[in-house]
Amino acid sequence: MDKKTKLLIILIVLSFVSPQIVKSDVGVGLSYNIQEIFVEDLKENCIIYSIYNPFDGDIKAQISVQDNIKRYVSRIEPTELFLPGYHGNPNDNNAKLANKANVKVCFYGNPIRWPPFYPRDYDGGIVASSVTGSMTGTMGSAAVSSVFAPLTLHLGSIQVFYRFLGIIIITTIVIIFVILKIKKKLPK
Amino acid sequence: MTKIKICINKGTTKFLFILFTLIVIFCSLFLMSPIQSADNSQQQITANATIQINVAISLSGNLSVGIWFINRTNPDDIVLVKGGSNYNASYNFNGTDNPTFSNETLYWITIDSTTNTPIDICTRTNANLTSGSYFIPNRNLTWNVTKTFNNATNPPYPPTVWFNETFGWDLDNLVADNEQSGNFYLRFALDVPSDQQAGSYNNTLYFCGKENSYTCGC
Repeated sequence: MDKKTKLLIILIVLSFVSPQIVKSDVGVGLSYNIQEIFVEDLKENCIIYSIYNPFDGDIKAQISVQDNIKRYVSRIEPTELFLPGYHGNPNDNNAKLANKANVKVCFYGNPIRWPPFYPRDYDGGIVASSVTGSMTGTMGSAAVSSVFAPLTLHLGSIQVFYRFLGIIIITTIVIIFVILKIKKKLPK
Repeated sequence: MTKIKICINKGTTKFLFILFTLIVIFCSLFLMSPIQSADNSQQQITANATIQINVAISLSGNLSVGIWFINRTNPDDIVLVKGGSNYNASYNFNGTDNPTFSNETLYWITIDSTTNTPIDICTRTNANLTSGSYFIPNRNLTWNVTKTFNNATNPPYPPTVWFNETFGWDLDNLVADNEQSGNFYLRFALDVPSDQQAGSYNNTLYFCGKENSYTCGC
């Protein structure tokens, strides 16, 4: 058998085998134990989430915050992380959960908001998505899997009250001074 | 008519001026101090709660690389024709790794066994299938799902449920409803409008796993 024939046979065998190669499942897991957080004005409060990969495919996980709580996020560390695929016992959930990385999501109680006092509770959530790269087809759809952890953010309002109290006092002072100035200029 | 005259002498003005200046300084200091100390006031909540929720879903390998459409009667022909209906997603019927079934789909979503609460899997697109300024509406992109069964007739083809751009409350957006485990098998199809402009049309499909009692937020 010459080299060309051997190569041809290998190619034919490969062409039969290749469609049967099982591609790895790709996904992401999110583990959490807090579904609400209280953030005082002008303070930062953080939650730790565990991102894990119980599936056999390697993933790059992206973390984001959704909905009304988004504008109070001060930082997410990290926003993207690599998690290798899990190749252990598929029935060992503890081992699967151990294939994880922690992500810190922090919120800052920004007091500049309107209306100043209400609403103080905001609903949203944390999303972990697995990113596998762009689509290779000519016409069609890329697919992304995500998991969502709901979170309610409670914002404090005591500092806001004092901030507005300060503005009220300053405004009153300005008004009194203006009145005094006008009084002075008026002929007796 | 009685006129009320307010008389303020120079001493009173000075006193008021000093008083107000002190109030302004006090207010400024009061308002500034929390801002300066904000960086030192960081708190951290650690895992003290007793209930831990785990949610994990995966896409089959063939779904994770994306779906593209072919002419079912001539699979090598990847060029779609205007007005063609039910163009077949390439791995709708290509399963060969399970000898029990034939023609099974290679598109599925799995809820992992670490998931410890009933969840929904919602789906949506990011946009219509788009090529430059042209698009094929989402309702031309359809899907069907079955749990457990994967063979030539399940999930049913052609699919009947169309995609939306929002998750919303519509049950039609749910691949899985209140489930804690299992595989959910999918088939996809595309109708090309008769007046569609030439181009390569793409979009992104999102599959989001979340606790059953909450809205889809991915």
